[in-house]
Amino acid sequence: MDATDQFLATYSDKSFLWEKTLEEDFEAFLDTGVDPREQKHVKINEDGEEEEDETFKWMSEKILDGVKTKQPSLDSFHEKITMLTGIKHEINEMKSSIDIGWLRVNSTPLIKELQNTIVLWIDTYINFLLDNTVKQIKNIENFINEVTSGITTLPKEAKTKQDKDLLMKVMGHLRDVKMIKDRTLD
Amino acid sequence: MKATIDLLKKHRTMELIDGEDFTVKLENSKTALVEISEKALGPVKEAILPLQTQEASNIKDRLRKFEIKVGEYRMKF
Repeated sequence: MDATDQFLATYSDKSFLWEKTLEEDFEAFLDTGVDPREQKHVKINEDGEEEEDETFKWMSEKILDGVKTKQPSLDSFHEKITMLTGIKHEINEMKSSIDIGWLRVNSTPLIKELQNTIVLWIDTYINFLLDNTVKQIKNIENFINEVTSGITTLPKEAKTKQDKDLLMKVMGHLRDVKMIKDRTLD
Repeated sequence: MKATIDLLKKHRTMELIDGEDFTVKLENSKTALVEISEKALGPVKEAILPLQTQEASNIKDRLRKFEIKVGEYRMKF
């Protein structure tokens, strides 16, 4: 009986892999974080009073488009991925065959399944950060391209409606750049 | 973003993004953003400033004329 309990105990710290659902556990992990989109962003104006800092809103519309911002700190991600990687190493080192008295237990199918499952867990955490980073870099590139083409042609005068529309468009790009440049790439 | 890329590199051999290392790609984006910002807020801003000033003046004129019109309308009552 002791030998059986001992054998089962080697799996106890991995029980979350079959007791919990990856999607639910990951969502719960993300929910522990704060979403900067839901936070109030303020700055101190020239009169020393607090006022809304609009630069985050502008930056978020352009650079954080499609990016999931509700997430815990990078330290929490590091801690979680390190823990999961540790479990993965433990699983890799588990004996595939063990004798308990007269009984020989073949754990190969179980270990194989656990290896596949733990890799899925690790990938979910890593891919979340990776996808977010790729999206942000692509958004920055799109923004740069948008501004580059938007300021190529400048109005010579502002008499016709067409000229005025072009002037407004260029002014819009300048406003975007002003709002975004210091907020991005931190 | 740089901190995220550093963290990812600790845990995974990173693939390239558009044939470039993630950190290099980020640095290039940063440089491109700085360059376009300097162009936009420098010579471009300077070039459209007279038009902007003229337009602001036109709007003020229209506003003033509208106020006069409203004043005249009120005088009728």
